[in-house]
Amino acid sequence: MSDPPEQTLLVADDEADDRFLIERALRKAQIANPVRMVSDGEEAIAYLAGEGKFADRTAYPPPMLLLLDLKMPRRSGLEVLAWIRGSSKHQSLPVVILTSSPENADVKRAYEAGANSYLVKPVAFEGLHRMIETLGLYWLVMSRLPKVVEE
Amino acid sequence: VYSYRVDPAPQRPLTESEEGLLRLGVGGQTLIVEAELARKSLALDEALGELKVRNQMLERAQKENAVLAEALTQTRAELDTFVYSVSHDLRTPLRAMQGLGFALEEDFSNQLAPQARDYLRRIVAAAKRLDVLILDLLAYSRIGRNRDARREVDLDEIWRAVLDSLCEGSSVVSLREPLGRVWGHPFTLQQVATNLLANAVTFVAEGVEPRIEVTSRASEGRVRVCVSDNGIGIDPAHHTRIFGIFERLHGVEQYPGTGIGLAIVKKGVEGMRGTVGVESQREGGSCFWFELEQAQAS
Repeated sequence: MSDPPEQTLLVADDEADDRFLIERALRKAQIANPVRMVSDGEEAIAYLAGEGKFADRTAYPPPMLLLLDLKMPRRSGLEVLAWIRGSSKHQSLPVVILTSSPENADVKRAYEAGANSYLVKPVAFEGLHRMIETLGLYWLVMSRLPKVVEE
Repeated sequence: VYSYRVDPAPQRPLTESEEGLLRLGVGGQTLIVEAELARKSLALDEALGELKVRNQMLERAQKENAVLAEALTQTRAELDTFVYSVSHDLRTPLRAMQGLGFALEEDFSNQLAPQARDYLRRIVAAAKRLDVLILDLLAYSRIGRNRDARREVDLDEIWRAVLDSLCEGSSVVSLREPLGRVWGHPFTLQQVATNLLANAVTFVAEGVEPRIEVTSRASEGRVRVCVSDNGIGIDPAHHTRIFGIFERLHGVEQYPGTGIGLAIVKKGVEGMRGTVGVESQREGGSCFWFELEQAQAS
């Protein structure tokens, strides 16, 4: 196993309840990776860029995977995605969209903007639990991901 | 008599043939019937004036049509936005209710009195019911919005596909094939069939095994599909009401459901330029039918 800080998972979601449920599902799925949470698009970009309080990379290590909500205040998930794909340092970061929108138009736009996967949050917690379990297995165990670059 | 009136002079330039006639007239070789001339010219002027007015009316109507079409497009866009926000924003707090209720039960169940656990179970169940309601409402708002042209659809294929997807109940349903071919939208027809079946399976007296028969009859270019059940039957007084949205004749404890199913059926069928109805008495089952334009056998 590599160093735990390199295995950080970043979750960007504006709903406090959803952040709670995602974190709970991650714990129940026995995903041991450190998890950091941000509550809007602007914060997600600040986190990735290491600006403000996120400059402390011990407390806020660069993530290996981003779980990104689409509908967020200040800057939407799509804007965050566009920023990531346009940034030379972060463009290879795997991004999994985790949203409540099943709309075809959103799915299409997200993939066009460079999403690596698109998941719709199930309403029932059992569903979310199973989804996060599968996500952990696929993205954190089976997949080879690009090495996280430290600045 | 072909003639030409010299005075009053036409307001427009003369055409070649008119000029020729004029010359002839001046040359005195043609008998000019002045009265006839004047009358014809006047009638022509009147007709032209009328044409002008009509043209203006037509232009105005076209402009009004364009405004209406624009308003319709805008209303549709607003409806899309509304449906979008219903499906996402309304379901987000629901997810929290269900998830937190579930977490409470899981983490603190042993600290809760049986009555408290019962309350909790009911809160979670209500959240789940609301979610079903939202999904049904979405289905209702979307059905019949198919803007594609209708096409020829084989009813046997539709019903078989629906029965395959509901494998548990299929043994109680018999199809009298061939049901025929109609003009419609396959997906809408599947939703119609699904909701009619769900309806037929739900409203049976306790302890009665539901038996459903799907038959069809073609006449005068229309196909009527009838879904007959051995259910509780419906008082004729309610036959119109039951197709309205959120209309229920029974409490949720007695028979589950959101009261949207038959409204989906009605809206879907009418969107395919068809009609729906029910034949039933208080006892002895019901026959829910829909009728669509017949398509030629392939």
